[in-house]
Amino acid sequence: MVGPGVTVRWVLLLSSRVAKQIAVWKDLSGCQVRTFREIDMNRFASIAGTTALLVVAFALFPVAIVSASDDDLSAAQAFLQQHCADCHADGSSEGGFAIEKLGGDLNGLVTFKKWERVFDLVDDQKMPPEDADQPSGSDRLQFLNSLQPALRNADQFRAATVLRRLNRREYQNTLNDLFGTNLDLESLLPADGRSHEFDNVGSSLNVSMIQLQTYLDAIDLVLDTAIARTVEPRMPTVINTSYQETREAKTHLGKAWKLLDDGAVAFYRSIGYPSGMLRTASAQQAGYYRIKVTGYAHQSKNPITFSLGATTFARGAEKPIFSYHNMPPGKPTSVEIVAWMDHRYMLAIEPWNLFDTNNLIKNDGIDNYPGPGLAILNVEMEGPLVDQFPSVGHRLLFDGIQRNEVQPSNPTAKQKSWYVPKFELNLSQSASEIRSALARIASAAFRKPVSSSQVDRYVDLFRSEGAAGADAEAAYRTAVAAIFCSPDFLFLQEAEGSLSDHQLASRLSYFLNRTRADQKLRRAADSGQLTRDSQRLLQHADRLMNEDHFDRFVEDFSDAWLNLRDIEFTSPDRSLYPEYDQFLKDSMVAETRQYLRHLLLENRPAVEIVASDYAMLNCRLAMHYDLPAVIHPDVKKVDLPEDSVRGGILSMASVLKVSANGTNTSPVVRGVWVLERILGETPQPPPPGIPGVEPDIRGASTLRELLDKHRDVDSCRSCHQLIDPPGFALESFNPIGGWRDRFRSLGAGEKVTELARGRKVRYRMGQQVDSSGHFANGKIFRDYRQFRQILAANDDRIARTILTKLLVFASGREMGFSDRDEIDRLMIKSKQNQHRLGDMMLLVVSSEIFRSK
Amino acid sequence: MLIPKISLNRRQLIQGTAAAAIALPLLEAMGPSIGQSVLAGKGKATGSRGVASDVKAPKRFVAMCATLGFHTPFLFPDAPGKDYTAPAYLQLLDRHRDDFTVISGLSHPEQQGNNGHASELTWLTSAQRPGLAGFRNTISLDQCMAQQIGIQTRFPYLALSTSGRSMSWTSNGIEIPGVTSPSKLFQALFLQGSDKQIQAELGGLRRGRSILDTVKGRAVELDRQLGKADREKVDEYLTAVRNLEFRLQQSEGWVTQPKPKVTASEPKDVSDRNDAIAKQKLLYDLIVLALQTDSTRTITYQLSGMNAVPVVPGVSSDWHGLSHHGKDPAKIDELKLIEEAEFSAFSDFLDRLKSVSEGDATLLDHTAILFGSNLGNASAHDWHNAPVIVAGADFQHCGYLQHDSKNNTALANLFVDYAQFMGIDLDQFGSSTAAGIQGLVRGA
Repeated sequence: MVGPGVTVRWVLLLSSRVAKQIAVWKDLSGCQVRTFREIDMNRFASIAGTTALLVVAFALFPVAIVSASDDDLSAAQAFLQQHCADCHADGSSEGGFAIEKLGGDLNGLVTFKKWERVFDLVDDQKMPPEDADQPSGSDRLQFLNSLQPALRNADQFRAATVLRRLNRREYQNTLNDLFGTNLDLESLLPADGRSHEFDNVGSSLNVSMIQLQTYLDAIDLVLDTAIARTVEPRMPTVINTSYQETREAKTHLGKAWKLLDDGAVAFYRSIGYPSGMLRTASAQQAGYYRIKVTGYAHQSKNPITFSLGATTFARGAEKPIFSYHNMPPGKPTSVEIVAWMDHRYMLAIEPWNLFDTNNLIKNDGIDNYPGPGLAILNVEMEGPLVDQFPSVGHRLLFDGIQRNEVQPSNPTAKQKSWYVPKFELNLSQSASEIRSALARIASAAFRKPVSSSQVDRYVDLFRSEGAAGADAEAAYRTAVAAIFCSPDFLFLQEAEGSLSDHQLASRLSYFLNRTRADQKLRRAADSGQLTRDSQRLLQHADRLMNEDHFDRFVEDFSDAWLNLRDIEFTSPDRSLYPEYDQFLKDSMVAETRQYLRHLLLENRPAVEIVASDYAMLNCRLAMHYDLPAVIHPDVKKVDLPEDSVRGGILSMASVLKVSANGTNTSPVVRGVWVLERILGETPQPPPPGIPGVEPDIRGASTLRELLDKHRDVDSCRSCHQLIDPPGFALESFNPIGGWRDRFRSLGAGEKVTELARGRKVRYRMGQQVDSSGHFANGKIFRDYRQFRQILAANDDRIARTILTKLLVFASGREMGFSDRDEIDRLMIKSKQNQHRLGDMMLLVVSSEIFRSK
Repeated sequence: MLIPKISLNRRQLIQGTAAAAIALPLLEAMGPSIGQSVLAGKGKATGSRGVASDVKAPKRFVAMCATLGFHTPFLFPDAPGKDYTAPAYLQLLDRHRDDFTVISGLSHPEQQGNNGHASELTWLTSAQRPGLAGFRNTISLDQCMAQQIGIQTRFPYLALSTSGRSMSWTSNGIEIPGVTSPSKLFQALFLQGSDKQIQAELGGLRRGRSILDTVKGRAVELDRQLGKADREKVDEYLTAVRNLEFRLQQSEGWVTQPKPKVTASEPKDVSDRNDAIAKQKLLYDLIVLALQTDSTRTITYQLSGMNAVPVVPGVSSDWHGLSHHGKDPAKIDELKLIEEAEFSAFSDFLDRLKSVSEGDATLLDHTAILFGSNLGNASAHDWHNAPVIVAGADFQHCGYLQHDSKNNTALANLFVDYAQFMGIDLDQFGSSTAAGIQGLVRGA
């Protein structure tokens, strides 16, 4: 076998021995996909041992070639000579690519990637370029045949998940779930390395003392939070209040607010001042609170939408919004939620979309104002809620250990408000309960059974800390801290080859719930069911997809795949996009996540990634998308009018926002986004020395026009003919995902009379949008709708992209050349039923890739 | 009802533990070290350990990067040399004209990354193609210095930031979180703990070492059981353990040493997170104090931009949005207000460094300053022609130095000069192609 460190030998298969089955997935769009597909993978099982023929010296190309079968070598040689040399050899290096500089050591990743690209470009018929003489199909195939085994072989040695550190979100989830805490540990840790868009790929997750020191501190924070400080649970406080009681009422009643006969206070404007702060509903302690708001829509036939959030006097501090609701007209009704409130935060209630455009309140007085308002009668707040006392973490630590309150010397002290109980451990002589507790914790932390000897070092630490003078609880905590700083906790360990039960359980659980295996899965692993019966593994996968923590998968996967993690990276310009508000931002994120969730859980076909006749909408989004009005503030499935541009991920505001900046859009940025994330192709970055195009929003020229000049440069064309078409199609959407026929401008342009958020807009209507384009194969689209049709007809390619990304996310490694056969195999199965996404999740879990290191 | 995700940091402030949570990154960024503090001259705030006037003044390095760029038409003059007509930003620095050089035509090669701002990861490292497949950052200039000279001061380095993101990267490509709180920084630098606190701190450090010792034993064991690729990761973990052990051990030595006394009092953190300039100023003040007391010799300071409206009179638009001005004159005017405020703060910082005398010279003469940005034209995310200002140290400052704007000189060439100034023995750093850049000479 060829192993790392061994000079690569070029393995050449005699094509006559290869019974070929070719699946041709022809891309209607002209973004061609591979025409060369090995479906029968068993043939290659013993490649290295049997049919290997060593290729020698291509006289012309100094790639490490050692010896060869004459026929194929000369054929391959002839191919390169005939079809590539003009532009890529003998001093020519078009596109920065020269065959002489390729190198021949496939163990080197850089060299490997270059050869892989040669393979793909020839395979995809992108090379030789259109205007050059084309090789015959069989020549092309023969050339590919000569490269493929060597590439596959070299890649196989890399295709294993490298010892994978828990990334910071996995670390946080795991500790919070084990200890029942709700701590933000993620933000204490430095950002994790990424491989493409994923931050859970083992090879990219490094560790340094920076993380290690945080781990030391973070576990103390977790233990401090989980360990009970009182004997009895603290009772939640109950607050029952209304706006009428507040200091703010004195200022605003009769002016901005109106006191109604029943004691309710009505708000008429969504303008931020006066804010909807309810001073008397204040959290004296951080924690979860049950919040109940009672009120009604005042002077309105329709329900009034409002937000429920928290605010603080700290300037510039973050002010979270918990949820959006509707208050119907008529009798008072209540909405109730449970939300996390930080210390000294107060509730804030704000009506949405109420404006007094004609200044009637100011002119005629609030008592004469006839417009709609939100009336809030009463607010109840109870908390912090105690879920379990003592916490699960406390029980994980102290079950089986006597931990008692130290009685104060003066017993009456216990009645005092300042009394803080102290605790001590009362251990048996041998302290054997410490050993069993540490074994229990280690088994949970290490995600597998541990032997007694594996616990020894932690027991030893407990003893040596005690000997050094620490009291029993402190010594015990130190030993526990060591467990959570050990490599057994911090890294997901997987042995070579097939995964064991516990390794499978962890892989599945971190994939679908982003945390350690829950009890059911752990029990299945303990009893060896997961490796014995693949159905059991799938059953657990199905179960985990229906757990609450599946939300974490939806969030983390969409953060990475669709780049939703950058949703706040830019704030839209307030003059150009005055309609943008937080409700819209929250709604657009919810839309995409709900949609993805729906595709997965309702097992929808992959084509719906780009096109569907429904969307996930609420009142805010329907307004933004100019769709028939929707009343509900919660995002849910709504059927779309025929031929709507909405439906599918590409016309979602969230995606259109993360692929734009706050002011303008670039067809290049969006084009790259679509290529990488939907079509599964990573375009090469621009060659060095090529200046970017500087946007100009003064209204005279569109970015597209500026780009046209850029694209005419030879070195840019080959990539831009791929990148630009999807970018052009998306020109019909502005940076916040609204439809546009013309660009908005702050300079030249036609005046408009629109209102946004109750005010006249400042922007003008500039240049006409041109969203037409054509693919590299000449196929033309007139607008986004036609573009989408072309894309939708190409669901194989979209399915392959998402399948590959799921495999990366699930396994914690990049998919390589040697995984192509397995992915082909999965694709064939997936295609049988329209590439349904729920099926795909299970295909991923059942794959060899998932079940092997 | 629509329930948006509760943002993670909302969940953080568990009463009683909040302080610990905030203090964490601080400790990391400022791991103390053992060594003899050396302070030359008679600065206003000499350390309590006294200063031998015959000791040579230590050399210091400070680097500031404004991540949203500077609008270079207001920075680069029309003609090279010292007799330029100062453009808007240089007018604010005009009183220091002899003490700095502004340079155009520099950049790190191949900074096209996974997004337009990726080059901020590599400003002090010069690693190429940031964020693209297979990218792994390399050591930053300050860390390279700190590896050699960090041992001489209480803090081997400081990584400061207005946002928490920093420019300092470890040799295996981990970003060192930036300290953002001036008050926490002040406490760490100057606030002498009580005996009880010192004992507690010592106890904590010893405990940390016991834990590390325990997990190290396990890692060594594991190392023998794993395949090659996995072993590399365990080795990395082991290196991290050993580095931290060393750092904790050094810290034990420093904990009992009295901290330098300064007349300044503990600053109050800026409560308005959008008051970017006030935040910048407070940390600038502390940089001066830290250098003056020889608490550290290398400092990086990230002047992060924001996706919000900064508190600057006359500015009402989102800062990041303004940086993508798209040539709109109204936006450029607003952007200018922000950037002028930044240059003013920088100019004041230079004043303060000059006001501290060390022997026959000033603190500025002993401090090599690198001020600039990773973006040459933020509106187009163009990383070529990065704004660079070299100030202080023994450079023969020459006003405006123009390098080729089409064919940029490697910015890392300049880094070699900085390293050499600091007494680091190297003639190559990152992507440098030469030691030093043409037109800028050391040895004033």
